[in-house]
Amino acid sequence: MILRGKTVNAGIVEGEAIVTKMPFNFILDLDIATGKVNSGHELHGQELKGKIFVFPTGRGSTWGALMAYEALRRGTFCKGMVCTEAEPVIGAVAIMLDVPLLHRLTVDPVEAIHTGDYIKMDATAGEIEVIKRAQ
Amino acid sequence: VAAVDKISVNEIRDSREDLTMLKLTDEQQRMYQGEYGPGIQKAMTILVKYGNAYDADRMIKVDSTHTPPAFHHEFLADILTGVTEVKTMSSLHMTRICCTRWADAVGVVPDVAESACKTHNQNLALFRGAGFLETFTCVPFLTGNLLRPGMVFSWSESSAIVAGNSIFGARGNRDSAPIALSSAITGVTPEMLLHKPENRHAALLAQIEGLRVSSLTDADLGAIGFYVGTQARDRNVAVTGFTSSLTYEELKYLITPMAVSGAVALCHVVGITPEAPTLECALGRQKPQDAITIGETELQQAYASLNTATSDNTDTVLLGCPHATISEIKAVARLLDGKRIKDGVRLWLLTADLIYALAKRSGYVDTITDAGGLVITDTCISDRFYGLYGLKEDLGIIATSSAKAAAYHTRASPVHFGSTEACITAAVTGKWRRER
Repeated sequence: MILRGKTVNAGIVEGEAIVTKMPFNFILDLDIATGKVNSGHELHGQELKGKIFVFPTGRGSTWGALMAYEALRRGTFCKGMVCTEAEPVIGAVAIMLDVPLLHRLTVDPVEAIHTGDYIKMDATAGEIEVIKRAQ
Repeated sequence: VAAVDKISVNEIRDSREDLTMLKLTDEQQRMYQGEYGPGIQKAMTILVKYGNAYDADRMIKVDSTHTPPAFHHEFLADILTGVTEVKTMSSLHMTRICCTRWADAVGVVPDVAESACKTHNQNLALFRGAGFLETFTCVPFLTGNLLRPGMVFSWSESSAIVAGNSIFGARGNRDSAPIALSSAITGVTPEMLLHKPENRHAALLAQIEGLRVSSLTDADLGAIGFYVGTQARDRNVAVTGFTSSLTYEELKYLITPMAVSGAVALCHVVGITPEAPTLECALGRQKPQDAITIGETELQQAYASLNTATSDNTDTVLLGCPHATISEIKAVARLLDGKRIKDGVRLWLLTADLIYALAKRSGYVDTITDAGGLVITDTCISDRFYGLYGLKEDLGIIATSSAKAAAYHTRASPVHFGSTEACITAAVTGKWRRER
């Protein structure tokens, strides 16, 4: 399955998808030391490290970029991001960290992509290939 | 170490050829091409990417910026290279409690304070050199960085952004730290989203029904805002149901939590805020996408998610999130006058240093201190991983009237959430009396 979207930050990455339908905040929800989600978020206890993070949009604090930058430096941040609509805080995170981010896709990515699917992401061309996880 | 090297070399990928939609003036193009040095070039590159991502056609003059000082030092040093003066009114957000003059009074781990203060002071030297105001507050509009209707601001602080748009009628997006900083350096920001009048109408209509609005406490207003945020996500909101005007403080309690449980940047309070003289104006004469009602059930739901303590004991009372106004400090001083906070219970009231000076002169600080409380400036009580970084002691069971503070602390502490009056009673007795 090929999905097209709008580039927020360019770049080419691939990896396993981690998907949530809940908005996410990189200061409220992510423990930058461990790279694990540590909050009331439905992804509690899971890692973003090395994955393609698929989520609807951001929420809460605008400090996300500074905390996410620390996570990137510690090697605990995700490889790429795909959003339904990346509210501006999420856009700033991707731009500051130079992590590929697409949003406004042809279909809602949080519906079309499932955790464990393999994603080949070309955010420069505005395209992602979704390889469904073997059932 | 390898990851660090990779970032510093390849922080912002060269994307000169990516300039597809956003048109720059000749002067802006010179900034973008690096004629004014690598710092200004980096700032303009960030803004161009940001503008292209959100369909900006051009850059516009920015009237005000507000930036957190907590950047990684290398990033800050790079982007401020050659920047001798910010190009617009620019203030600084709060810092860590261990870097303030209250560090000893609240008890911080000395080693932690030393290392955090080293970075803070290094960054501060750069900010000072570039002409940023050292306000260290989340309420820049109360400390000299004023907003008027129609002004364009680029601020990194969710509560100040929703206040700037909603209460003051100025225009700004949820700009994270690098965007506010880049706007300060260049004096411009991409025209997008809430800068445009057509994007300022409400999509979610929240109607208050069946609640006696005249007797709602500050915490009730916060609970309403917290519930609305869960339903709004990143959409603009219009709230109806208030029958008389609200003070700045009441509006603050109402709208701040919408940017905690949601990503709301603009909330019209119909009949009260400047762009919403009528519901029709707030909605732009269109049907809202969704309409919800807020009554006793929704209020109870918000209270339930913010009240996580199972014991009625209270160890720490936290007030002033966002930073308390002079009227709020006066009210707390009146409530504490002649009383004594129970031994072993902390009461911390947070404000801006400029407001502290007035509260001190007016006698309110002494009243609160005499009762055993502490008025603290320059930092944040909500964010335990940044603002409260380095404290020796655990804060135990927390009581607060701020839905924002409550939401952040429920992550790691038991929390009581209720009115400022209930919080003061808890500070004096050590026991929480639940209101809802």
